[in-house]
Amino acid sequence: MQSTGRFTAIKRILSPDHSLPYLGAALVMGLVSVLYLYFQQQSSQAQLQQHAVALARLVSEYKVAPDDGQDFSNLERLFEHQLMNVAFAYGLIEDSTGQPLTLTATRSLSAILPKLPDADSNWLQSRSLGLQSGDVLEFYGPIKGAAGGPHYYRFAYYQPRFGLNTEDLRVGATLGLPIFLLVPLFLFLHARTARPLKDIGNRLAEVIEGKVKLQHVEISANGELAEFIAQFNGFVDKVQGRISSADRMNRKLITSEKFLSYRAERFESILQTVPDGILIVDEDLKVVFINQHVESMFDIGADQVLSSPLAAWCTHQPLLDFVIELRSSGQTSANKVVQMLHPDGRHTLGVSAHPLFFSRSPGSHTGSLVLLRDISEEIAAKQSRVDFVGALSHEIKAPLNTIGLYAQMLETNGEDGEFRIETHNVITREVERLTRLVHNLLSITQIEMGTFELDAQRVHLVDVVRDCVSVLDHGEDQARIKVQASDKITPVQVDKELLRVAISNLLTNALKYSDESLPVTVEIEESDDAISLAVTDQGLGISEADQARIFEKFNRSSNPEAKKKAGHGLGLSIASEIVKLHHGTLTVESEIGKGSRFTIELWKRTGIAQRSI
Amino acid sequence: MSLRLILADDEAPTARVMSLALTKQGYEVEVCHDGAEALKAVLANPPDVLVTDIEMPVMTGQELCEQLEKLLPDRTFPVYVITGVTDLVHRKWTREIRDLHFLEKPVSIRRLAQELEQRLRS
Repeated sequence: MQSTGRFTAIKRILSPDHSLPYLGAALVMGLVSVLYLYFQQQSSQAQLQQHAVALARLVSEYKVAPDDGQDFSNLERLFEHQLMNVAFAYGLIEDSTGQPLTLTATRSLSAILPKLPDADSNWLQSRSLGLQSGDVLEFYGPIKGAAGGPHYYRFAYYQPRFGLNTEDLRVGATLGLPIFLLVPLFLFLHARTARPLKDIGNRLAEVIEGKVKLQHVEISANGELAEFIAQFNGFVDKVQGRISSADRMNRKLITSEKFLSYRAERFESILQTVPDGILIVDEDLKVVFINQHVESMFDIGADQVLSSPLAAWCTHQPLLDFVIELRSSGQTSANKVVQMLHPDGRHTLGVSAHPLFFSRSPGSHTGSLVLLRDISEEIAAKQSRVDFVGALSHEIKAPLNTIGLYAQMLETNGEDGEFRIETHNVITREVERLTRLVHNLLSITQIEMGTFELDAQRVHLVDVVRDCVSVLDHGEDQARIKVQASDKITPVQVDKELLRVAISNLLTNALKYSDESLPVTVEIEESDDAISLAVTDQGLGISEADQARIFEKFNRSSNPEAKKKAGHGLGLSIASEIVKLHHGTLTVESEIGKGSRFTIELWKRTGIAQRSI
Repeated sequence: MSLRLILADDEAPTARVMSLALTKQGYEVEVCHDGAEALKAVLANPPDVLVTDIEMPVMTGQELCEQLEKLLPDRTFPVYVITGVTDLVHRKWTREIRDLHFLEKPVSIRRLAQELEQRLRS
């Protein structure tokens, strides 16, 4: 880890964008050093030259003592004195043959000096010599006044070398130190300024890559950088504010979208659940919504008709006319009801249309809501009621008519004793008939209103059946009824009078709707928890459609043959209500032309208990 | 010569007392207990007047009239229908039947006698 970090640091320094200031600093330092050395060498050279010339002048003006003309000791001392100078290589005096008379040299000099040039020289001359211990600059000239031929002096200085002179090191160091100190300082300052910027850059890069969240830059700095960081952090605050408000908005949006879709789904499910057909069209009569009932009514799918004009698929002219009329009339609150035949041809639909308005702009018509309701049952019930009133009217007026006629006849035929007895009997019977009718009407009303109280007794069903048979008007009818029941059948807890009405109604129907020559069977059976009583005839039979409505009040068979029989459509309704009061069931099985079987099933006590659990 | 009258009514006491009353008025009365029986009697020997109830087994008064209209297009005798129903809806069918008159229940023998007297004797 550590080595990697170090490696990264090095790489960072060496990478082109980072190394530039360092390279610049090194270059400057190098250049300064080279220049310094160059000028140092130049100045050493000049100094040497100056020194040499001064020495040469001193030497050349040297006078040999007159006594022997061979004493060069003063000169020798002068050279020895020169040894103090580090650059001094050697100093010597030669005779005219080239033999050295004196030699003053540094220890390091270990070489054979070359001879002077042959040409006579009367003044100071210099030449460069390459010796083993280094390059020297040699000065030479004649010594005046020497005895025994011309003598020459020679002395040399080492050439100043290009390089660091230890003597000048202090000066160089004094000069170089500030430079060498300044460069790292500059680099340090640069690094100090650049690092926070680099950090900010890295941080931003991470934010952009999505690795971290945008946050404050915590870097200690001062001056302009601190100001920049403060402003940058201010910017971060602002951006964070924007981001969080955008997040909040987004969450709100998601929530409201969920809420909207929830509401839409809820409304849709409500519209689908409504038992009526719902059709919504826009102002151009294009379908906006239909629910499942409309789909099944017209045998279409919502997908097929949505956004398509109503006229494109709705072949039911009355509906189309109705909706068009509603739109063109510009009514603001129309609730008109028209009747139309259900597409299945059997049911009647009540159609009501309501213009739709936006609550914001109540004036503009945005479409229509059309409700389609199957009103077949309402119509049937209405018709049943009309039929019932007709039948009731007949039931009441027939005995009244008979009574009235006899009363009129009494006027002219009153003397006839036999006729008076006949009149009495007829009137009594007709009054009973009327009373029975009224009683029946009251019973069903009471049963329906729930004000009927059961007078429960334990009775044998077979006894109730025999009672019913015994009160039948005609002996032939009594003879047609065959009762099949075991004597061991458990008695049941019932309201005997009510149950008699129910069973009587079943028997009367069975006799009425079957041929006089055919028997009517009553079977009483017992199971573990119920006792059943079935009345079976071999008569007209009841169609399935009629069976569905057979226990409805006022309902009479649609069979023309059955219609011929007198009846007021109350018998089965009353029977069914009575059986229900006993928590029993009344069911029918029938086939046209073969007969019908009505079964009353009464639960025994245990049966009732089990069922109530 | 007495006028012949066919009376169709399934209510036995009503048929009997009407027959009694009309016989007293001098009519020769033939009583039938349902529409089919009456139709048979009419076709066998057309009467001077037919008096019929509507609600009857086997063949209703309405069906009887419709049959007569079909089978006897040039019938000359009037038909009197005894009805307890006053609702016009239930009388719609009678528009198709010629020379048809209503007798509302309860029937007044005197009014019927007067009516028949006027229509048949004139």
